[in-house]
Amino acid sequence: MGVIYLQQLREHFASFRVQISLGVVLLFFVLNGILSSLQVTKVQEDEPQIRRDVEAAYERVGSVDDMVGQSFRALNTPTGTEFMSEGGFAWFWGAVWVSPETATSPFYYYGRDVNMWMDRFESLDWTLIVRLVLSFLCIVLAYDGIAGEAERGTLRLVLAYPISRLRVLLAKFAAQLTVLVTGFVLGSLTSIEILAVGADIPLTAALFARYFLYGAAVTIYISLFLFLSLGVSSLSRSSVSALVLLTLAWAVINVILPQSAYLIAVRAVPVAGGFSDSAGSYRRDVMNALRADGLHLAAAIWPASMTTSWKSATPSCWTKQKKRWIV
Amino acid sequence: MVDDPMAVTAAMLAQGSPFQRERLTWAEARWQQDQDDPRRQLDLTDLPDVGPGWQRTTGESLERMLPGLLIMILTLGVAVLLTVRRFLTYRLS
Repeated sequence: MGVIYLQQLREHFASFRVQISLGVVLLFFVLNGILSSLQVTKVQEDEPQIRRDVEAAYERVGSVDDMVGQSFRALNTPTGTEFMSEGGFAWFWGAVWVSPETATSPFYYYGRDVNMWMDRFESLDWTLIVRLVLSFLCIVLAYDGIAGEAERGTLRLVLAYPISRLRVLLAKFAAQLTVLVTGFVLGSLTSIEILAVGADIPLTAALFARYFLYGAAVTIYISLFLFLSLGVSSLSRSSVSALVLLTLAWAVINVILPQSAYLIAVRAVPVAGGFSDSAGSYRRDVMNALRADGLHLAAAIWPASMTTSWKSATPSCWTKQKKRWIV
Repeated sequence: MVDDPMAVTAAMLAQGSPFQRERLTWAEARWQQDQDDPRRQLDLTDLPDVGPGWQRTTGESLERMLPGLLIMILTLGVAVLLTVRRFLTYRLS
């Protein structure tokens, strides 16, 4: 098995196709390092000012009355691993605005039928490189692993060795995995090095613990694509048809499936109302209690012709009027 | 509340007038009512604490990603089984 593994490994590293592929992977990781350095530096510059603004807003408040009519920000915080997996940090809400009057955020984002966790123009993080580039390289590396060798007649020679077919398959897989993991490790360490120099990120044990966890997940993901490619290669009689089938499967797995995930998820998993529902019912309770005390807010604020939906869509207007009535 | 603000005269607004005393009594009663009103107390005990605990631990993250991870590992298992099975019976033409 070791002989076949080394022979396959030599073939891969000597192949111009593999050398170009590894170069492309490295280039993507270098780009990731440079762009992430710029982004981390910007966040490091902006973050203290934003924090000061938020703190100043809280310090201006001395009593409950001071809070009425104001909105406050609850900020998200960088995890420090956005270069690995951006996770929506750059484009998702940086803060949620909360008004103490209504206990609800003043605006909501609603994605109609798209997966809002998967932006159309994604950040160049490691996840994008692994998900799109490395997975495609798995196909490029393994689509002719069996069908191609059968066409060239080399598979017959390999199978002539006095070892089981299972070991031959495992040797092929191990050689391909080694090539891709080498590309990932070289590229990712280059990216970290650029970040350490360019953005001064601390190289802590916690960061490397996350790195190894990430690497383990990447190894599983690459293994899946390699076995998928070898399986399709063994099912096809020609390497060209294997390549076509695998490209189609790659598009389904990486593009169509994630984009349709939202539609599948909303049918598969019931969505709880959560915070906005409870805040809404609390607001209704308060409104009913005030009405019971003889404070007919709606009649004082809106003409009878206005609809209920319009009222619920303008909470800040409603609460300002409410304050005038109560105080 | 003043029922008819237009009917208020300067004499009524003089310090110590019956009208002013009545208004003062009304305002004090209203202030006391507001003080006793539980709706005017702000209870922040259940407010989520924004502090170092905002970030999930590795265990919590793994728990959340477990379904997806299981699907990936199971898919890998199926791919391995099918590939091995197919390759063991592969017929060279």
